[in-house]
Amino acid sequence: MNKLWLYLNQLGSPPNFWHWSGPWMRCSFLLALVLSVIGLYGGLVLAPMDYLQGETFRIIYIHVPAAVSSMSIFVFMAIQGAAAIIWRIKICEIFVVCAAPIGAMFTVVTLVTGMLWGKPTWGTYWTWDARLTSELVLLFLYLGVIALYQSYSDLRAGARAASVLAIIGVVNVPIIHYSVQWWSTLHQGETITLTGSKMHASMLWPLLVMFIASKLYFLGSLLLRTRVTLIQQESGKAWVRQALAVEAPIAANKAKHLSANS
Amino acid sequence: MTHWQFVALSYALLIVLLLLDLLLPYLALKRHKRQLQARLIRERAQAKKSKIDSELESESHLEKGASS
Repeated sequence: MNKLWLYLNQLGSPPNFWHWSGPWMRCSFLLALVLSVIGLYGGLVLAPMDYLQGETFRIIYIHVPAAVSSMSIFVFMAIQGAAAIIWRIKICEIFVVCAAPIGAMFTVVTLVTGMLWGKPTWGTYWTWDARLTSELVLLFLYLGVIALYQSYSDLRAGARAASVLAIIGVVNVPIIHYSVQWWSTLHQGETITLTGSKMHASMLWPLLVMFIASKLYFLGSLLLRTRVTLIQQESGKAWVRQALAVEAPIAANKAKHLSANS
Repeated sequence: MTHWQFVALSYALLIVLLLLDLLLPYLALKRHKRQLQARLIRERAQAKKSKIDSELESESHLEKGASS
């Protein structure tokens, strides 16, 4: 256990993180792109039209993965926030503030694609339904985390305050998830559960591929944003100079090569 | 609007938001790296220049000593 803890601590130290996050970020983005192309081809071309909803059902291939991501990212933020407050791990603080804009983006995608699906299916873009309203509250929570972090001049204090809000706000996630069971809502209930699915396999597999693609995209985007924040916060440290000193001659050579070509 | 237009609008929105989500931190990372690398190169050049200056100064001191 101690060895694992030590290994995780080493992995999360800023210089080590900078070193391993670059290749992982590129791999995540590449895999996400490949899986998105496969999933979208399956969803938009191969999957048959829904007999009731028509072609608009194809919106679920982005709506459902985005909705699941919007909730799971907030849970991730709460876990990282708790780790940041209890053990004062710097990288966890950065994860909280870097995950928030990605989560907000997924929430906006969920809400807008839900509206675009709702108009032809329900006859309205918006209704104050429990599921829709709680998802809107989630967007406000994400915006609150971002605003709270940016309102502090001390970045670490801002990150800790944002972590507290993430821990408090996570209570909204089960409300979103169980809202269709607790209240009589216009939004449909669960289609996919751990025990099985009500969807036909030809419609289900592209959705599962898109699920994985969205998770990989989140990983890549989180690593990218964390690298930006890390280099901003630690610009004066020796490891940043060392890491950039390795990259500097490569960048200089590239620039020379480009100017020689032009 | 037809069903396909709703679908197209959803996917267009997703692409725009993903591009924004990727492009903004990517450009920020590039900018920071460029600034830090420029500072590093400037500092190195400064250090090199001051080293040469001090060497020249010590040489001129030696020459003065020899001539007198």
